[in-house]
Amino acid sequence: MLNFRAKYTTYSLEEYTRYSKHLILPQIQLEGQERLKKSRILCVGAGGLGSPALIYLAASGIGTIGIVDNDIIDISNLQRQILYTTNDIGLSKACIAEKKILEINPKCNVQLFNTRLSSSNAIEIIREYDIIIDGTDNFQTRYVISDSCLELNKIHIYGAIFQFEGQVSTFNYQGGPKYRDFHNSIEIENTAEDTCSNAGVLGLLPGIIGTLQATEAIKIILGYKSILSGIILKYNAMTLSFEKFKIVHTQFILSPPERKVEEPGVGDKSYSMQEIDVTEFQNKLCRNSLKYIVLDVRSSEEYKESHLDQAINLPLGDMKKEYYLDLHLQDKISFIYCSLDSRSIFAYNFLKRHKFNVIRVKGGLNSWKNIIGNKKLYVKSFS
Amino acid sequence: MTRVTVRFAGGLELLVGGRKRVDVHLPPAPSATAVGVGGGGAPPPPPAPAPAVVGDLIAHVRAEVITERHDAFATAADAGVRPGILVLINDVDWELEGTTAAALADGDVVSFISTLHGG
Repeated sequence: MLNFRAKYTTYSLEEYTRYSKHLILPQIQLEGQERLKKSRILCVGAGGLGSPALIYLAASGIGTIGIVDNDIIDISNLQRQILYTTNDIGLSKACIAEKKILEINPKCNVQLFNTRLSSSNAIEIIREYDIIIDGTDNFQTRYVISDSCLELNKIHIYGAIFQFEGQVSTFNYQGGPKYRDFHNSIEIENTAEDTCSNAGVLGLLPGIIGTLQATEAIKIILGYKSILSGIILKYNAMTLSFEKFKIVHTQFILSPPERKVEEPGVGDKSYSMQEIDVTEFQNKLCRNSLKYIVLDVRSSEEYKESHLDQAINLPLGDMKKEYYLDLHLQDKISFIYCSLDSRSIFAYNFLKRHKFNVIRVKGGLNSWKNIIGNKKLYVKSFS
Repeated sequence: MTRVTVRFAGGLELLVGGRKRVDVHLPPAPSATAVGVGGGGAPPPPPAPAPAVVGDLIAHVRAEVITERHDAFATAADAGVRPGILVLINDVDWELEGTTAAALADGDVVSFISTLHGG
């Protein structure tokens, strides 16, 4: 739930009628409409992506909409920026956008920022909003949005277009990946593509992508779980195809703290697995257990049944997607075990690849039970 | 020789003449130097070729497949791809597979997708 700060306000008959098709949806009803009304969304860029997003957000009943744009409407914008008409050429995009929004929904509180978003004003502007719709057309501003959203803990809904292709994702959502994860250097030079201005774009493509961004915003406000966090949705207008790509939180995986002991990675020809048998493992724990972290990479169900006293449960399935590896592993040596060997081998390879200092316990918990017994072993009581 | 299908998207297809899929035959990586055995006798068996990895593929694509603006794909043969390019190995983020060290097998599909910025 997002900023659902107050009890229901009184709805007029006009509002009941206006939002009647929302109110009869079981997934929205009056509570959902209240959430929309109390939400504050900032749209950075009122161009191709911003136009459809703003129209649908206003029509849906978003209570407060901010618009950041300092452009003037040009005739070449009209092929795709559907907020504007021929009569608007030469006028301020932000001002005309406000006018059109209020024509659609007079109760919408529109806040204008007739400026270009930059590192000097972004925090001040973004601070007041819940969700930021990124409809900009350049890397620099997207970086500013990403960094500001990270600092202020705001949700960043990314959309971008090029020729016949568009991409959508939701960044910085509940600790998920952020835009900066794909641009892990300061470099801001364009890669292969150029802007719509000089590379061309199908006029209706931003209509689809901007509408998808608005859809994400509405879903987040309504509390739906299926969000494009950790996923890039790619749309190809030529083939009318959507593809989803899962992405990982590289902040934690690409940049683990520097290790004092550098072991060869799996890609190295000199690679050999660092292993220990349970007897030696027990001796090390007895000598100084605080020096080590013990990771149980079995499922949480198996862990609940029995585990070594000191072990932290980090199921193999979660290891790839979780971003708290640094928190667990820090600079200590970590011992990893599973029931026997297979999952700990997989976990070892994964963690080693990311330069964590890990040692695998051969034979796992079975070997511990057979050789050491129940010492230092938690076993769930069934009494 | 490893046969890999390479996909380009997000504008990267413009660097390869508009092609979105290219089949690549990747030559085997150089093998480790065999240690000589003195005293004659049968020659040692040839070392098994090391499996090709994604780093090899990037270098090969940059040298042999990209037709223009090579630096927009990778600034150098051994530099990895430029920031902002997603790499997927069989639709899985390469971060989970070892990035440039991820081993490739026949039939793998490697996608290079530039993140976009137009709006």
